Amino acid sequence: MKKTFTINISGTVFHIDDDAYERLNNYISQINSHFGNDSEATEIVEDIESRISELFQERVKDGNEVINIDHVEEIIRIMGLPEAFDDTKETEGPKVKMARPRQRKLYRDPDDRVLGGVCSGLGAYFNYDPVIIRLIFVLLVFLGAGSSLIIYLILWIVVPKASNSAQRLEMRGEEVNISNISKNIKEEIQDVKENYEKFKASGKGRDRMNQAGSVASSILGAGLKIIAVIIGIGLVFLGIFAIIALFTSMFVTNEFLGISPFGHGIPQYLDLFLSGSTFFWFWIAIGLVIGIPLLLIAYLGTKLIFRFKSSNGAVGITSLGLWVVGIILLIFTLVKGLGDFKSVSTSTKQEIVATKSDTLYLKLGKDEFSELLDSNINFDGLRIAALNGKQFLLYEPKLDIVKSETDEFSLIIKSKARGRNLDKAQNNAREINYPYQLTDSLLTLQPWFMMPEKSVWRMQQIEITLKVPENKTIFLSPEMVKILSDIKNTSDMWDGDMGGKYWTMKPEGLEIAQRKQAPVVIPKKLRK
Amino acid sequence: MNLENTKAQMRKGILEYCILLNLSKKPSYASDIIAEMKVAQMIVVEGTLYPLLTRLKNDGYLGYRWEESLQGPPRKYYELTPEGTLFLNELDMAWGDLVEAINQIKK
Repeated sequence: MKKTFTINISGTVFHIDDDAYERLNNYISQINSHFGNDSEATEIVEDIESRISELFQERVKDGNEVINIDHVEEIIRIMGLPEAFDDTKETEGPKVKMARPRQRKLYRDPDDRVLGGVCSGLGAYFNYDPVIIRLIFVLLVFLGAGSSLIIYLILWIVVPKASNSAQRLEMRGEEVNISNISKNIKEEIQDVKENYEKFKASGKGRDRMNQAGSVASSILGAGLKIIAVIIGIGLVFLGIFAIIALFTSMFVTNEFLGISPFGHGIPQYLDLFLSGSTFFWFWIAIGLVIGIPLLLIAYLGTKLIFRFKSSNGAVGITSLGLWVVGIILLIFTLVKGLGDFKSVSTSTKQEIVATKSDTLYLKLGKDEFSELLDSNINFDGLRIAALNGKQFLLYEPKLDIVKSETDEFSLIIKSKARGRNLDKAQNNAREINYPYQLTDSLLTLQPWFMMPEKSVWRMQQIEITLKVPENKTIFLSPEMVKILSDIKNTSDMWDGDMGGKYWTMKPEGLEIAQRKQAPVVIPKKLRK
Repeated sequence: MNLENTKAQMRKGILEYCILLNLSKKPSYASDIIAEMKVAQMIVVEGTLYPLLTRLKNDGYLGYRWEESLQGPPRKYYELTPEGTLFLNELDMAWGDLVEAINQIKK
């Protein structure tokens, strides 16, 4: 029992025994190295191969017969060994190329490769195990000699691939020693010279055109290759840096949305707006939706550089799939996030403001948070303060002043919040704690109410209503205007102008008290 | 002096001429030429022919065209170019001179 190969010689398929294949392969590579590497040699070898193919065909008529070692030996007898091919040119003088023994040449090995086969080619050239060369390369990269990566890329581009059996044998050719290397270099130079002379001297029009054409096209091809590699490197860097930027901004500095149209600042507080799990999935979704295209860019770049084979379809479908998952997740989290605002609930407290005085003095408490505020954020009365490294939501309350049905001052504090359902909304509303202070006839309101730690934004609001009995007077200290909200008065005065004045509740509504010349006097003991 | 070697040298010298002569009759493809050369005992191993053909072609003396074949892949049919014909005429004359010279010496 023997192993057979299927081979294609100049367009015809043959089955051939293992040993016969080995012999034939040897023979053809002998011929190959005998004639060298130029286009003339290629043509000769092609012709010889097609003759070999013909001779085989004569011997295996039905096409099912397997070519064995005897067939191969016979064909070699017929065709003759390369040494016997000597044509007249050689009688004129020895041709350097012809005299060249089989030598090792540097190729990339496509059969044993991780990336481009450079390491295995080097291994074959220097007669080392490719694994060792690879290890050295990888170690060099990690030991900081990043330039070895560039060397690898250059070798990948410059070193030809051993695409046929002869080249593969050449790749493993004879021992490399100093004298052989120097001989090799000399011969390479000679080759280049010869080719150049031949090119210069080939006066026959068509040939010259062909050669000029092939030279031009190879220059063009190399140019395109280089451009593609440069673009590829650019894409790889772009993709990788963008991904790194994305992830650091998402997880390290939390500035991700800060560079997006959402506006600066909000994102660092995103966890104040989204509940924990929603937040998590939102991040995953963002990562997918933006990260996948970036990954694809980097992938495209590597493909341009290395031109490896891969199933573009599979990659495309996988990434498209992940991207769609990201989009769906994003929509889902947004919908879920919005769901947290579905229900609204209010919680109202009414308290009598017990004072014997006919005049109630209103002032705002000290603004404890003004220095802690993040100045970037302010929408619709919502502020964010940082305290001991933690972030808190702050809201501005709104104050309205109306007529009381009784003869007592009273304060209604209505807190409002949203939530996934009524219960949650109610909880969120109750969570709001708005402290005020009454000292004799001085009512101190806080300029802010602060949400407890870990509570998230659910459109919390505080509406304060002060009920003032008829004919009783209030004094609004100047800073009170900050929280006044559209207070009706008989002079139709703007909220902003109402501070620092006395107001008396008349049957028609709030009216400026007639104390024009009177200085604004706050009882001494109430002053702070 | 090795007899075989000398004979080989002689053959080698006129092989080109023989090929051109052969092709001057009709265009043919490598295997036909080989068959004829073998009959005339001009070549020992077939491999000799191919470098010659390619060189003659690259020197502009031969041209070729592909022709479909009934058995297998298309064949390369070689034919003489006008330059080749001129070259052949020169060789004819040289051969004539050579034969004359030999005959002269033999007398």
